[in-house]
Amino acid sequence: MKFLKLSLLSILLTPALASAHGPTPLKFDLEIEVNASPDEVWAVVNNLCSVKDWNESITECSSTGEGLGAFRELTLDNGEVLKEEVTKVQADRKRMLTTLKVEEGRVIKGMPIRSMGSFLSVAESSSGSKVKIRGTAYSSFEGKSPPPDRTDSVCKAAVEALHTKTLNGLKASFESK
Amino acid sequence: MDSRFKDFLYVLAFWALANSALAQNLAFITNQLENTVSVINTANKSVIKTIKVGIKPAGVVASFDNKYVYVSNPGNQEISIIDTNSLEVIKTIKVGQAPLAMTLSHDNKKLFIADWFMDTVFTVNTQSLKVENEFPVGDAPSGIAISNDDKILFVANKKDNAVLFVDSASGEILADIKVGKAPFGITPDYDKQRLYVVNVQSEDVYVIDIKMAKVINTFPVDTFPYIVSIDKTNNHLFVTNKRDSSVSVVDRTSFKEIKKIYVGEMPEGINIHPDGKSIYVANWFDGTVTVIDTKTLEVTDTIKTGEGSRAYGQFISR
Repeated sequence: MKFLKLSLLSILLTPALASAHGPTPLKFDLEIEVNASPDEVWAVVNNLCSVKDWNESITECSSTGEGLGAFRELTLDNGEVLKEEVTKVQADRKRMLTTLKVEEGRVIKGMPIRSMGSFLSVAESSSGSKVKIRGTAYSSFEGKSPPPDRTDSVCKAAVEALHTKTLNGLKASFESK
Repeated sequence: MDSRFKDFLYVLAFWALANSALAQNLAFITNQLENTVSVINTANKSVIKTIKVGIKPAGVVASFDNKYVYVSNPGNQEISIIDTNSLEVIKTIKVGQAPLAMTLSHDNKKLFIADWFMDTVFTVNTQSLKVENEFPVGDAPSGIAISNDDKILFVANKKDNAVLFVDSASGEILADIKVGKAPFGITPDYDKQRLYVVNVQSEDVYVIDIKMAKVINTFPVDTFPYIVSIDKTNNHLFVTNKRDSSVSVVDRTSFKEIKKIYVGEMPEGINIHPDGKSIYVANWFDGTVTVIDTKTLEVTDTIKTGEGSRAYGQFISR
């Protein structure tokens, strides 16, 4: 009877339709048109903490250094802090990579990822610039049955929401000038 | 013309045709984000079929007799077995929690599967399709290869920053070799009795001498490297750099970089074609395969495959 109860419980606890997990990266691929020249946009995004001015989810930002090897610490509106490093800068292609690594065992509230690599790129387009944020993230949960608040889809949605706010805010900051 | 001679010519022509059909190597590309395998006919570089497999397919290994292709699906913990003739999944095997990297004994009888979450290597008997052995390895086994006499397995353990030499029958650990940070792909070079181990986070390749069980050289590559493929004809090594969207071409003797070739976004799996004339690279982010000419070191073709093309392992039939 105890066994039956336990197995019923485990069935109830298994999130419906949640795909099982493996060592699989999550993909994000977002873009926006901005009414400004690529040079202008590139200059702004190179100021690592300028993101605080237009992303409403970011309440505080501090940075050390510039370009390759620079760090920034973003405080989110739920109090969580994300520490990112600039790990690649391709100025000729107006492309930079920031990477985020979360300490072993730490689970970021609302965005339960273990690591993320985000490429931000700026290219010329008919409306001025096309800005892209694309890359990969990994869930912090290791095992085949994550709890419902730590699934791949929760991670992907959270990462996409943050980057979408960055892109939308960036666009608005130029267009309100 | 003498009619017997004519018959002989027909037979000859038929034989040549049959052989050319056999010689058409197929590439089996695992598409991790759409749960399929794209089959490329390498003779005309076109996708001839897309096969539904398990969930989040990643690893792949073609058998030495070219009859089967094994695909690991960490998403639903199973191996799909594809018949290379019918191009259908003929069987599936449930294994572990996250089967990823795989290698096969040279007689095709044993399939070794590294499980990412269980820190275990499973041995599957390819005739009975049963798991006949399992033994513990290091933390997060990411890459696996086998010695040419099938006696030793080489296992890269990503979180231990180490490569284990393991007796393939007993599971006994024979050597534990420190490498760079976060090793992933491991490629044996039998002619030189070496292993090439690619370290994702220290962004370099460690060269291990198999007999000495020792690191004999290291060389740097680019951002987030993944795995090596060997071109014996031109004495080159090709290394995919995932976050540089490039392939480093390195001299196989001096370990100096010769060229960097830009491919699709986030390249992962890489194989030399058995004819030695081209290299196939699976681009995870783009869902494409890039073909590189091994002589000119130029990109010759880009083939559309599926979302999340990973092709981790021996994906071209041999």
